[in-house]
Amino acid sequence: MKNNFQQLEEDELRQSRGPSTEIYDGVMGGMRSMKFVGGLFDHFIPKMLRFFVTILGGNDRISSGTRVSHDLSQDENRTERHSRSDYPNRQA
Amino acid sequence: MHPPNLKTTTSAQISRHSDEELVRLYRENQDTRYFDQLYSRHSDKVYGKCISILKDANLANDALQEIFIKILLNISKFKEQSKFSTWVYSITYNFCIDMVRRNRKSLLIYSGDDEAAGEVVDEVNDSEILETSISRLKVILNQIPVGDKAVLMMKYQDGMSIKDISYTLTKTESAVKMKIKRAKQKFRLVYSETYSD
Repeated sequence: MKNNFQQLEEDELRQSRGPSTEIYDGVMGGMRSMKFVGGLFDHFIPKMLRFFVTILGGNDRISSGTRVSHDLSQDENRTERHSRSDYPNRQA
Repeated sequence: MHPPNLKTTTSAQISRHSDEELVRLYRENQDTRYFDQLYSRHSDKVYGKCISILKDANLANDALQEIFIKILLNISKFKEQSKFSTWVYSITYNFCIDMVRRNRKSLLIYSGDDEAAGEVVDEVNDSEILETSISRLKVILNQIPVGDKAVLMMKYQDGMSIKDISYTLTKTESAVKMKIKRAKQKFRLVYSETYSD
């Protein structure tokens, strides 16, 4: 059996027109926007950080990695050396 | 013979899950149909609480949307230490009280402070409050500070335990007992001022 507080809650819900039907779309739309902005941050923040690191004279590991992989196709001996020094976990 | 409507079957299956199972399934699959089900189960009650505290349909609609976005964003933090509905209502009450505070609709959120010296002795019986007629209850609840109203709603409307309320308000259990005591005293005071019988 419902007490007076619970009956009051029911009465108030019956008297109000209830939540707008657009609210659910708003919730999902809000989530999609947040995911989109989050995705943009995920995509651009690492690139910006890498850019600043490069500008400040740091070593950009990804660009050096690209250079190494290019070298791999050129010289098999160097491939051995790089794979041992730069990628210790790589299988020979 | 028509093939079975898989979509209908799935929706029927989804509706048989408990709230906690739906949360788990939503986390695992990110399928919005699970969240859809949670929304349809709780949105009316959340809206009811919003309109009861905020007293404005437009504000209540805005609050409902914000609250469900908050629930979606924090659903991974729900650790099943309480029922899902308790967790949802705790977000609702906190959001609405903050909204009242932000809009400066009420300068006084709670009557008195939470300082509890020793054992809290409740002078007002539950029956005194629970025997108030619905029409009078509505009048009194609209006259007491919004925090007091929320505390009484948590206790009598949602049947939340002291532990659940302390989790909701992030207060100690003795502070919550003190809040309830003061809210009931305020209720009795406003009642006696409003109705002479």
